[in-house]
Amino acid sequence: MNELESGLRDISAIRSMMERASKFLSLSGLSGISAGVVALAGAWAAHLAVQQSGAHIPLQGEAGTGDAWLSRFLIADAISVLVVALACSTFFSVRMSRKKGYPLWGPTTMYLLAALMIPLAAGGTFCGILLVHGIYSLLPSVMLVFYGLALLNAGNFTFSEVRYLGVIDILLGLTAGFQPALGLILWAGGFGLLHIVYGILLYAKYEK
Amino acid sequence: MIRSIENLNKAFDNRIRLTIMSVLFVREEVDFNDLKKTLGVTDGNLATHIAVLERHKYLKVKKLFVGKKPRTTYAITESGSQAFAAHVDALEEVIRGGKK
Repeated sequence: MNELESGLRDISAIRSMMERASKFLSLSGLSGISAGVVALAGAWAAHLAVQQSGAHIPLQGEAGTGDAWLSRFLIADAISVLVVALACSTFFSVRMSRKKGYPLWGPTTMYLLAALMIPLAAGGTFCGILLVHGIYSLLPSVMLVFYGLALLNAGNFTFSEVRYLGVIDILLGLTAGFQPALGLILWAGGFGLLHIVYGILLYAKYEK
Repeated sequence: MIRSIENLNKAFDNRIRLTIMSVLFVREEVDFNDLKKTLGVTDGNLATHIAVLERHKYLKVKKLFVGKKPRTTYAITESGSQAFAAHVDALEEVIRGGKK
């Protein structure tokens, strides 16, 4: 059927154009994998530091017993993970947008960044609040929950699979809230392992 | 089936016009260069098809200046989004009719 064929082709042109016009499609699976590896390294460093100092501060419930060295190390560790992970994912996104010929900087990029950054900025500030009050035990929980919310929100402006990652991170974060002793492990799972698994799936599906 | 083919909108039987409408349907406002990059077509080609859609009053044109540079943006009109939605419905009917 001629009309059938051209109708099907029209529908698929409409669908792909709508997606291209409203979503940031240069997110690479390799970004996820590299961010996950960086997060695991950061979690491992945090684990070693906590062990070495002999304190249980960030893992146990008691507030404000932190020695200054450890809390400073953990903050520096977290910031390094964030910076390196962001740099890696930016690098792979730029590479992918070149390869696929999508514009890197356009309205869809701005939608995605706004969707991500607003919950993340709120979460970062809230982590600052916890630090000020010396409540280290809830940091992994808060990071996971706000990051999950950011991803849930961002899923509207990029591959929608990102939303599932967001929901799982929220659940992990809430679990970490109830079980602060598991905070670091859940954090490593949510930011490390999940990113790697998700990155591999995304890579296999969209980049081969 | 014959009826649904009649329902297809002649203004959208061109692939470029169809994709212009698709982009405008999901975006509030798109400027010329962005549209050009998204569709991957030439200036002249895009301008011609935009003019056709404008004549049908399916899109509205806004011209403004950013500093001294002119910037033209396009947005879908109410009748444009109705016509586009009706066209997609008709396409669906064609496909459903053809599959039976």
